Amino acid sequence: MLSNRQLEPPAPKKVEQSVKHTQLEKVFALQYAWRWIKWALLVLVLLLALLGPNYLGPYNLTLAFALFNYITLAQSWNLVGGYGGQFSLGHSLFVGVGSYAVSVLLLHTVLPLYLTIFLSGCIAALIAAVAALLLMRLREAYFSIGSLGLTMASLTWMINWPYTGQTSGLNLPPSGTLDYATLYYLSLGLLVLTMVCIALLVRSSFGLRLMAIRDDAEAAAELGVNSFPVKLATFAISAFFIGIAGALIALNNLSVEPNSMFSMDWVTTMIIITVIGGIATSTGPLIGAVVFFTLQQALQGYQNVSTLLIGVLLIIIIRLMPEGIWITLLKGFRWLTQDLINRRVRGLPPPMLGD
Amino acid sequence: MFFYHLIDGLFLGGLYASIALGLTLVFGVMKMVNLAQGEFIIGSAYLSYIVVTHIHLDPLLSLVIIIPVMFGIGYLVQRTILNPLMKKGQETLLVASFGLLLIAQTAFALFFGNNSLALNAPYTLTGLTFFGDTVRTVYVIALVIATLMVVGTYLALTRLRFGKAVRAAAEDPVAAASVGIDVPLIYGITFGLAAALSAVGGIIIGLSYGFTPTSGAEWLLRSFTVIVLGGMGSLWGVLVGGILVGIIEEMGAGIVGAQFRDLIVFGFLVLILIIRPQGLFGKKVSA
Repeated sequence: MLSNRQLEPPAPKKVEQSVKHTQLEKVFALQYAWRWIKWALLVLVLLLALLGPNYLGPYNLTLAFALFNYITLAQSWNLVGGYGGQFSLGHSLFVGVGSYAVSVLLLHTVLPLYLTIFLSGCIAALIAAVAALLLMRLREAYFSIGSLGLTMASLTWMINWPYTGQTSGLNLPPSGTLDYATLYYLSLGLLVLTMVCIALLVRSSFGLRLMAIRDDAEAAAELGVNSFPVKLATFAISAFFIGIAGALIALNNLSVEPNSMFSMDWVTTMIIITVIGGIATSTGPLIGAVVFFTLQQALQGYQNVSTLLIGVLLIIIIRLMPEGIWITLLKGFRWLTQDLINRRVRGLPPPMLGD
Repeated sequence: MFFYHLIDGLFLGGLYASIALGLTLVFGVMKMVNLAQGEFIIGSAYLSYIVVTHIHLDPLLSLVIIIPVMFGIGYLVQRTILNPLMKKGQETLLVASFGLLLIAQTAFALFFGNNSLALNAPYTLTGLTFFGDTVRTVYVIALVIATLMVVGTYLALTRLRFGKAVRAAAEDPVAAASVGIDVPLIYGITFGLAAALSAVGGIIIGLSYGFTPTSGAEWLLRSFTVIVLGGMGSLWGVLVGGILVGIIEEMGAGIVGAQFRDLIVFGFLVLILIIRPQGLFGKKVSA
């Protein structure tokens, strides 16, 4: 191409313009195609995930189960902590409630297993609604501390409650035993449900109200947004998904114990994943969970080093790219295509970028 | 019996006040909740452990070395990590201090292992008797030191030129900067002071309870209870709040049993947040 062009006399200006336009169209087409590529990638990943048990061994299935739960937990926290701007330190409570609810229901009732899983989500949501009645009056740091205090109080209660076996906890009955593939599909299903529900929710008018309250509570109130029901519903929805995830974790472990189920590690993980991936974005927690999980698995033998690295990563991200990996990647991609356009067609006005 | 709990609680409150002072100072000046405050406390205890084992100083005397070190660490952490984030809002600061918490906990575990350590001194196991009730000597020391620290900080903030600058920066950072106060410097020094004050609390914890790499979180939450009750950012609130939390914990534990201590304290925290989130001496904060 290049040598040909050198031999030929320079083309008339008009033609060159049109060449430039075709190239511009190509770039636009690339950007347009990116949207479809995204969907295609999503479908591909989903298909791969659906076929998981066909090519993954039991160990890898358990790993995938853990990863899926991380994403679910982080995305649910993101609804309250990211979109809602309520930095909850108390979300471990709902993991604990969900796991204990499924255990107690299986031990003391004859309800079918899947109903108990659903019910444990509902119980977590109910407790979240009650907690919200108490906590949602509080702003910013007070809310964080209050939610943490509530969780720690609940942990102490569970440690001392004879009905749930105090510190030794409960063992799930044989009816709660599921094979690896079923647990895998349950966690995958919950993950997809959570991602879709929250993505739709934050794009609805409800989501707009939620974010308006986050950005400026007074202005939102003046525009007639009643913040209390919105915050309460958000908290309950978030707790619902976390409660189900907690139930699945209990079904996987086959026993529950207060110190690990109400552990602050849960909410820690949710926050780390969301912040690393991108707070208040739908895809962020997904990316964050993959990064976090890979790091955790790669450094499995060095528990301390991995926590240290995660702490350092957290500070680096909050310092250098506070929007998280996902938004930074998106911006990088836009910058690249923009650069491509600029380089190919100098002199043309900058094109309007879609969305 | 009731009277004994009261005295026990009073002195336990001294310990609480000594650990909560740093937290309230940082919140009062920077409107920042420092989740890593518990790690400053435990970190000081570890530092003291090193000093005590190597130089055989008395743990309380080791403060002469530890206070400047902690001040330096606090100052550096604020200036390098937190200060660039100050304008980005509370969530960013929460995440950053949370990252610090993780790093500090891991560093403790790497250097000192996960076993519980404690500081020893001739007075750790002795008691003093007040009105027929025997109280641990360490708690008495804690109450005396906490009172001194609160009074000292109060005097420093009201009488010194530097203290006035700190209060100006706390009141309105922009206006303070416009009259020539170096606000980031003030923030750095305040954070350093908070770390230095935590050193005292840390050593008292080391002397009275023992500590593991992760025990910072528990003390953090107790400190929160104290400063929420006293009013976040209020100096006298720390002393009053600490003593009240101490008394409530001792009374509650006397009535329902010692295994519910945490439930009493954290339940009480939630209760105050609901009934009077601004605390006893704070400004109105609820939505």
